[in-house]
Amino acid sequence: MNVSTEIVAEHVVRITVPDPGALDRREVAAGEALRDALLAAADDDATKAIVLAGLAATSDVPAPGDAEPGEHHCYTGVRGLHQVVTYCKKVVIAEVDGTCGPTASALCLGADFVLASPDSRFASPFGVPEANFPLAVLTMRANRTKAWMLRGGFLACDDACTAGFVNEVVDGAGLREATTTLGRRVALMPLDGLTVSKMNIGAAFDVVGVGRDFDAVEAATTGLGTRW
Amino acid sequence: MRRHVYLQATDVPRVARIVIDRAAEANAFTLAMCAEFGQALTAAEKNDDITVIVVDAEGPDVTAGLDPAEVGGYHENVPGVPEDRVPSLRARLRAAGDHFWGRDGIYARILGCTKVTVLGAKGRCHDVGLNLALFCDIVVAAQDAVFANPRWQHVGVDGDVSMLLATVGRKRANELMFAGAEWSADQALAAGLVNQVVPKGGSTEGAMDVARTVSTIMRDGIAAEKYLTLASTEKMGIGAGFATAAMMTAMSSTIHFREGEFNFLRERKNRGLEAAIERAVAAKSLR
Repeated sequence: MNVSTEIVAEHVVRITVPDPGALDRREVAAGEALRDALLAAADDDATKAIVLAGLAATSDVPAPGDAEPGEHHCYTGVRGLHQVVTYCKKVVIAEVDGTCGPTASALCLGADFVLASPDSRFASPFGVPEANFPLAVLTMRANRTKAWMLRGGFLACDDACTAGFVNEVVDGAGLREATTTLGRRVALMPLDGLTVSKMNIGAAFDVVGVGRDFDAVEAATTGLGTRW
Repeated sequence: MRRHVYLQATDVPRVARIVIDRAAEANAFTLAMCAEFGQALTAAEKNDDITVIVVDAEGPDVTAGLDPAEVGGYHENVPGVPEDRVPSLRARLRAAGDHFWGRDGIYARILGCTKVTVLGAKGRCHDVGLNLALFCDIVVAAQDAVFANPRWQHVGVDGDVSMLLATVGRKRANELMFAGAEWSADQALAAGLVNQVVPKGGSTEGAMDVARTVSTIMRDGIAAEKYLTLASTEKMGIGAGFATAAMMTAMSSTIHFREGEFNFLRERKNRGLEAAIERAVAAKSLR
């Protein structure tokens, strides 16, 4: 999978996923490509904000397929895709224009901001093991999180905005401009300040169990849980 | 010397006011005012006849934030820590803890207050004002209230964020932290930051109405509820958030500004306070 990375404004990088369905199929190459692109942007001092685009499926959302051997290395764990987004050193802005499958929804959950077009909708992120329950509670409150996890199904864009899962609903034609502008606004913060801010928020995540939830998934995936 | 924060009796039994009174300076908070706030809380907590404290301000704003003339100098003259040309980390930690996030800091004192606190929010509720809204028990906001922390865009998000995340939700919190958002009273109500919005000019009356209702609850009941609330916030990790907050505040006082990044302290030193404030406002605008 060829993930494209482009600089769209000073300190703002846009990463586009060409085939989000590959993430739902938990293809190793797709997961690694996106994770590596995110890590490269996060490690670059010239970058302060990352726009993550192309998350919406271009066709029907595929059911999660049988995972490839070794997929947990690039999706789960501290260097896995979902933790790379959630604990990213830079601000991650998810841009959604269409239907998000479970993996894309879980990535939106991990992102700092979600801007979406009115017709967008979000499959339950709890279709993938890395969907972080404490993070969802911190984002959209316990009652909504439990209902989404237990009922599954799609959350319409307006409902997602009301729930606090989406920051802003933007007309599709203006979506790219809106995410870029938000990235530019984020980039006004000094790089050191931004880094301290993200560390501060990461510490707050760990207090409510976000890190422990990720660890539990890793333990279950690698079989550590059964050995203990 | 005149006090800018003081405890005042009201004509409602069991209700007292803590008044922020530096209206000529938009109620900008000095370190002395943080200490005075703590003293007012102590006096109220020692008085068994007081069960509710209304936090209120003179003038159109609750506060425009920390006094820009003092910003950057908090770690000077910290008692018990030698003065260095470059202040030590322990001086920075002590300053952050003593004034703001430690057990005697203004925010820990409000969070741990054994009386019910009701904020009457109006005009600018910036920085300290945003934190007053977070740590008081109940917030009644006038229609003209605006909640924000413009300082974060210049130095990053210092202080506790755990209460902000828990109160308004993570993604909404990011709007305040990273996007320089200024929430109207209605936006703050939708996000869960305030409990009630009243017409402009009605925040004091609205807060007193709430206080009057709360004050009818028996004293032991209020004390028990407050202790239970404190236990719950501890379980939520807010206490741990405060411990991190002092560290993060100390760290944010050491950040290095890169070329093209706005440095308020350097502007204040080179161009004076007024010019620095003007440039700080301009630096928040996208060009």
